[in-house]
Amino acid sequence: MKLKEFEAKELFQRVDIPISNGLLIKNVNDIPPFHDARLLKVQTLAGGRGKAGGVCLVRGADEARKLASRFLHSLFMDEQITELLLDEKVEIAKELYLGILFDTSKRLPVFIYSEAGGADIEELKRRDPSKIKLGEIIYHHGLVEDDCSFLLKDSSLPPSVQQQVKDVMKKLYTCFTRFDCKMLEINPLVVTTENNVVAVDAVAVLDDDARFRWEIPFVERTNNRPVTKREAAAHLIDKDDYRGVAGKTFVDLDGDIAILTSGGGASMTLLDALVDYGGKPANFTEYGGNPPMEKVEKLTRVVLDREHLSGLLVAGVIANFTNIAETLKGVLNILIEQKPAFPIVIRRAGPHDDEARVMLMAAKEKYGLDIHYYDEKISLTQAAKIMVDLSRQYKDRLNKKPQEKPTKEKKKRGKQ
Amino acid sequence: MAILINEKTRFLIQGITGKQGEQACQEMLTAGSIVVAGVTPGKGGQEVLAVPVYNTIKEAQQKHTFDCSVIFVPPRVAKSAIVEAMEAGIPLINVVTENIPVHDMAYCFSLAKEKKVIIIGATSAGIFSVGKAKCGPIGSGKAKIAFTPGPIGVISRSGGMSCETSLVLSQAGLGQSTVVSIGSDVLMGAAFAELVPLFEKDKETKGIVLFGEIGGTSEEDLAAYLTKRKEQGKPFSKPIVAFISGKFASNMPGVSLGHAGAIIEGNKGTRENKVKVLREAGVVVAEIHHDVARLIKERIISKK
Repeated sequence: MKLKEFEAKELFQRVDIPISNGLLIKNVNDIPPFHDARLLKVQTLAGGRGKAGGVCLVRGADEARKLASRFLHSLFMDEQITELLLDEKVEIAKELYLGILFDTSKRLPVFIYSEAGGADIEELKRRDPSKIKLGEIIYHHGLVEDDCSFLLKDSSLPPSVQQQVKDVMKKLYTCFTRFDCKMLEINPLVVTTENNVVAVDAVAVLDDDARFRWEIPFVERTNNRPVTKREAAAHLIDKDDYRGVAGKTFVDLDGDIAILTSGGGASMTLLDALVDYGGKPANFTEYGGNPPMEKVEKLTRVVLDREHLSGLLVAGVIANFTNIAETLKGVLNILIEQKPAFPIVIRRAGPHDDEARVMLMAAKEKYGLDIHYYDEKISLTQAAKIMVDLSRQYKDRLNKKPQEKPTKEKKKRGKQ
Repeated sequence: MAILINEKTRFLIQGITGKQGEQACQEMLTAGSIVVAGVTPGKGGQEVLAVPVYNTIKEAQQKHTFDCSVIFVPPRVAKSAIVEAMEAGIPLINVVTENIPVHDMAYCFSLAKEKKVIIIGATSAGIFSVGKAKCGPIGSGKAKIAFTPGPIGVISRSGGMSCETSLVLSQAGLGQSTVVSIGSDVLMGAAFAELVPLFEKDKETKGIVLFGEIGGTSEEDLAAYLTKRKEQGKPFSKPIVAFISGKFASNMPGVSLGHAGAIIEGNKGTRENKVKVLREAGVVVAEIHHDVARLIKERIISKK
């Protein structure tokens, strides 16, 4: 999970990394009287806010309040802004870059250090990679003195400043391990005109799998926007019940075909095919690892909580452990409760799939649900095509009879 | 032959008394695997399907020897279980547990490198040397029908798709030598680049099929390995066919890793880049998943 600047700086504070003096502003009235020059910084999850005009120089409280009322609770780079940081204007002599993240190829944390910091660091990598130092850390040894010396080998900074930078490196590594960070970045790490080293900006990405030991319970969000209601509801399903996985990943999408998949790789392969055939998914989510029926019920409810759906696709690879009858019963219970008129395509095989077939066919008959069930004889991609075709036919029927309510539609097809 | 595990491999199951561990134990025994013992702290002295359970690996080693440990313990204690197996000198560790914190795995990988231990996973569905032995949940229950013995080595970043890929191959009359589910975590154990050399040495394997995904760098690492082999004048000797999923997911809003991610990975991780570098390195990339069967078949036949 990615943090905003002020949250990342909260981590920095706990490990004593020197940061610029800032005040969190959630409301225009939070701005105290002042007369000097300060920076008003929009708190976003996306990068590049400086270039987009999200960091403004303000002289005095009046100017700050005027600007704050414009930013707060409005959209900036597609994000709803709820916080600003009123930050000290540090006198910059030099901008450094310091970051740490995992190198997936070497499976080790890597420090990135450059004495040409600032907004164009990526550009610098193309132009003059020699100005960027990379230092691998042997994880089970931890950060050692030699690692820091290596990064500072060609430094042009005065020794006292180098010592401060080294100190920040050590503290940043402590921060990295103690808070289970996947990535940390200070850009810029400023050397002030008085030769002090200060973190002026901060980026942090935390490991969600380590949530159980996070020291600070940060509010959950997905991607570069706050979580939607459906996403929050889906994530909640998984939170307090460790049996199987359901809803841990949930992304709201624009389409009209509701999706319940099983197995990450299968889900992606399935969506690739669905879109190739012209279908539009309404969401992306998964369940697996033999979750109990109640978890699947809850997830189904979230998945179907959307207007104008034209189909539900429940698909996954042949299950090893997942009880197909029990998990599909969870889906079916909600279908019986809501009695949707749209087609439902199910491609699932595995333990107890014969039972599942009997159960689904009985429900199709009894409740008039438009269920199409397949096992492993139909491939995932074929199931995706069947879903797209049926959904298209369903929409065609609706468009032909716009005056009719979907409930009538449902009764008609119940007789099939 | 096969890679990693075979009918002689002596397995230890850590977390054998849990629901998943016990289920896998049963399936492993059915598949012909030699499950020597299990470990669950505090449950020493019990038996699971006639397999003796010990409190620690050390205790178990007084009576037994192990070639491979399979990890089923919960994510919060997985690190200590993996470290225990490494300290005990077990050369191959298959981590089935999901959701292990990345820092815990980073510690394990760094120690594994020093101790020359092979870790497969985490989030692995297991390893299946078809007709010989298997570990982990792979190919359990009905999923067995997907796997048939034969000449294709399969490596998959998705557990489910290791089964689906084998199913597609089996339906085309191509069995599998060994199927390895390597997981798809941020940090992965032995992946494509580390495993294809093993398949190259395996006489039974005639071709290799991969299931890759967006994110990470394991496809790029493989491409770099194959290119290096070419430059050394020892080009890789067996055909490789891959499918990379995530065409659609690439367009979904994703977490940006900011500058640091871009500096280390550049444009690595995207499907576009993976397909490009794999093709340049001589790998055949399928556009539709079920096409992998036809593509590898053509190449095996033309080799004969």
